Amino acid sequence: MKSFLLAASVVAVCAGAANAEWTPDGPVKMMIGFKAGGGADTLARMLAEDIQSQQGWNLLPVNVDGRGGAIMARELKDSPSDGMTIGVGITDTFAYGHQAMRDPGYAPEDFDFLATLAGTQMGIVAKSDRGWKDLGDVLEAAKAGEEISFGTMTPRLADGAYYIGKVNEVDFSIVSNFSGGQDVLNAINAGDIDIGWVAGPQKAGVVSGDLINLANGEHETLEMSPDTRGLSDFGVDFGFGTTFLVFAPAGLSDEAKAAWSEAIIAAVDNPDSKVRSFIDRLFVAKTLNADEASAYVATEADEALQLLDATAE
Amino acid sequence: MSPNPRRVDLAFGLLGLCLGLATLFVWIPADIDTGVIDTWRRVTRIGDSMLPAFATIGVLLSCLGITVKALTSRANPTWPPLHGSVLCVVAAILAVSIGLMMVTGPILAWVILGPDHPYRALRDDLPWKYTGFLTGGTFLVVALQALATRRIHWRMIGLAFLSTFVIAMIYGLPFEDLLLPPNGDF
Amino acid sequence: MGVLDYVLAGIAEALTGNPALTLGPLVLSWPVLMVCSGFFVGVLIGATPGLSGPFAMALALPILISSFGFTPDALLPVMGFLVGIMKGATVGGAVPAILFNMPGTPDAFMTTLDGYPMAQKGQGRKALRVAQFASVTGDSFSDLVLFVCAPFLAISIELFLGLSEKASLMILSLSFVAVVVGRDSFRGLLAASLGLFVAAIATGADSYPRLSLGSDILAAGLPTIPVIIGVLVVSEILVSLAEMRRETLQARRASVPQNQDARLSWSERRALLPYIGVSMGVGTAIGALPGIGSTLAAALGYTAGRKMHKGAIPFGQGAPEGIASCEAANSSVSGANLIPALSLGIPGNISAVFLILAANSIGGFNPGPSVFRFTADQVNPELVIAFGLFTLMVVANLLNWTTGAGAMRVLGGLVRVPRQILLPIVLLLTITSVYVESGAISDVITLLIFGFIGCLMRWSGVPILPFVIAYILALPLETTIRNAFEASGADPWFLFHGIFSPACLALAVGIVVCSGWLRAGRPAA
Repeated sequence: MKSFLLAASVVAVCAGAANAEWTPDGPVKMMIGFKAGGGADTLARMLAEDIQSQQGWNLLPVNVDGRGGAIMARELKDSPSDGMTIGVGITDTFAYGHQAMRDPGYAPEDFDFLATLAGTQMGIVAKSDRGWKDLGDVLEAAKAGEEISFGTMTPRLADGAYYIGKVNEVDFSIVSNFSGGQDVLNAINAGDIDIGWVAGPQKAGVVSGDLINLANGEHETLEMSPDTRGLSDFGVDFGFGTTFLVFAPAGLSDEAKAAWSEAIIAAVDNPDSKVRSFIDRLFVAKTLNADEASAYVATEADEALQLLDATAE
Repeated sequence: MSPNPRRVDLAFGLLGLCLGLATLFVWIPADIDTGVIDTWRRVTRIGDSMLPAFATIGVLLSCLGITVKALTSRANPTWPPLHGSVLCVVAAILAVSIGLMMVTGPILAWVILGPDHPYRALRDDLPWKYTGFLTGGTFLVVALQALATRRIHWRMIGLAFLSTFVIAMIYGLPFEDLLLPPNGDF
Repeated sequence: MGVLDYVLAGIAEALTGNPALTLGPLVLSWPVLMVCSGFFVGVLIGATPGLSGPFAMALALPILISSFGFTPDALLPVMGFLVGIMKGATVGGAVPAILFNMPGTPDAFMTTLDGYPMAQKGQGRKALRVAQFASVTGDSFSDLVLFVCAPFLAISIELFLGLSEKASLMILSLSFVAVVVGRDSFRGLLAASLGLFVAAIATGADSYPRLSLGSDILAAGLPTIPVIIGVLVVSEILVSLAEMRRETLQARRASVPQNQDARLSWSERRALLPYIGVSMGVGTAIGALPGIGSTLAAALGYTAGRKMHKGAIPFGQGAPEGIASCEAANSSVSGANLIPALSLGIPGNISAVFLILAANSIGGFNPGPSVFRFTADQVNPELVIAFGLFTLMVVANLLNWTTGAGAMRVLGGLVRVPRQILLPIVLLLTITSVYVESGAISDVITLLIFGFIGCLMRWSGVPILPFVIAYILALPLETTIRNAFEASGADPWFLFHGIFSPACLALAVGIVVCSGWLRAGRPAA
């Protein structure tokens, strides 16, 4: 432990960063809002390893999954804002989730956003052997009377699934209890559900041909399958992509905020880091610093209102 | 002197029934936000009350079974002795030893160093780090051994202190950043 | 990656990943080191009168987690150590049964029937050899069945069962456990219901933590490891202390000089094989069902052996075949017991409870059907871990074959501390390791409170095992039911579609109702 601390201080000195004054004085608890083994989880754990090796800070990842990151947000909100507890999750939780829940138990103001990490590659995914070529085939099957279950992992994606059905006059059975895209993907692979949102972990399956992206949930084209039709082809003008970000309970000191923000962005921007190579495999790198991240969440929250209106009953 | 075991079974079942009914009709509705089924924003889901409600129904059914069996069956169930008084003593011993673990360090530091030294700063340092654990742990081991064997002996105290010391070393040496059991942890 | 690639990756991960010591080309990995030390600790603890495998696992788990941390690299060393303890304690448990006529666990009771008479005749060492040979054979066989069946079962479940079928299967397993464990099925059912209820406290999807009585302490949720260790191990210690106070100290038994010749010739081994064969079949079959553990297996194996036996020394008077029948049966339960744990996520016995607890606490490995997805395009890390775990079980078995007999002889006589001296120390160790793992005094208090709850349960005859299994299974079951309900489009009859799911539920109700009959066939052990 002593040698470890020594190494840590050496690294901190060598890094020579402007904000080297602030360092955590002990192990940092890193809460992950999604299930172990999924995209967000791996992303967060890789980030922890990189920060550990680059800054010498000791991070302990813990999964606190459920309700699209809301369970974690509630728990993190009550932690002391000393930079010793941080959370990794998605912008959805703060831009949409709290507005769609009856009693969210948290608000975006409860958090300081530190940095964003990556954007998703959101698609509506099914197993290829179902024979569907795109979302149109699924809609047709549903209109013909087939019961289609649709897996979602956040309230926004659940509303999205509902809205896609509403516009196309189809009733999906929306299964909303999944803790992340990997969880949805597992359920699709197991045949528990028919289709579902997956935010990137479907890539390997799509490339090998086992899975198919029925529709693109992003505004930009999907890197893994550029030919996938956009949702606008099916009468839906909303985008459902989301952004991974790191945050802490509100009230963090400016030094701590800047130190974290820099440490995170340095890890993601380093082309040799583990987190970067993972992002390049599944997602798209997207680094915004603390202020930019807050502004980004605020814009997303404005857009959220439109979808909320469109899906209100 | 000892009550008829079938009556004890009957009392046990009835007590379970009462507690179960109270849970089902008072605790669960009052202490959970959503019902067994919950509809919010046009989506119908299973609410948070589902699991506890079904668990309580399970409790009620099994207690009903125990009650009915106690009323109808001829077989005498066996009830081992509860050792109630011994367990109370054990609880007291445990409370005292955990109390010792928590307060020995701060009190000693206060007596020796005076009131100016905040204990939080001291609690990871050598003499203070182990005082609470050694006194509390030794007390726990000796008291329970004495309780079980109905006698007390100097050798037991020595052995208890030694084993507590060994345990302290096992945990204290490899994990430098971990504080030993409740040491000024309020 | 093909199946073979996964197997090889698992072996490589277990044997060379995460090296602890490198000597030129030789690598000693942490997983192997931990499984070996776990095995010897297990023999030592199992051989100590008054202690058993679960004690060692309860003590070790918090320490292991705090020393290896929460990275996927920690999974194999931690689970390896637990597997080592499980196997070590199984062979070690025969030592006090044979030498001192003191079965450390109920399943070793049958071993005393022939083991102790042999020891009284001065053949204790030979009896130990027989026990070890039978135990390791049964154990290895059971593991082989596990390696073949768990992936196969998991894949077929993934393929054929939907959400509501999985939920019904969990309900069936739970009611089965509730009915078969303990002295009457109503109490088993009560235990399982209580387990579900306790698991519901402060969990759930609402923002208000349910049933938390507005208390901040409860709202944080009950810590899983202290609850389980408290109800399982602390209560056992407390009840034993109270009983020891009541009983007068047992007079120390005079020791019989033991014949040093402990060799077991090949012909003697061959003569034992039929008994071992029958018993390990019985044990494996029983082990694959959740809840009914090694006690029943030992009893059935012993009964089967007695029917087969035509030798000079009758069963019960020191027949080596008796020891072999019993030990092969109770040891072959352990591997098969992991079949439901790994392929369904349903723990069938206490060892499986601790393995699942370790996996859940560390993260990165979720025991259940999704572990055995042989994805060709990308590596499924959970499957590599599963094969790594299988490799470690083989390592433990090899160790058991080569050194088990020696370990029993050396470690078996080591701990002679009387229980009344040992148990308070073990209690202090338990408290310390729970505190060290979490660093919170509230966890210690939870541990002790659940220790007293466990005492009440033991007193009123409510069995502990269904409580623990239901407690572990409650939240996965709730999530599966929630998903199944939503996937059905909020159909209230979602559990009653198709054939499989209603059949499971009917069977669940059936075994609860018919439990009286099931129970009648069960020997009082």
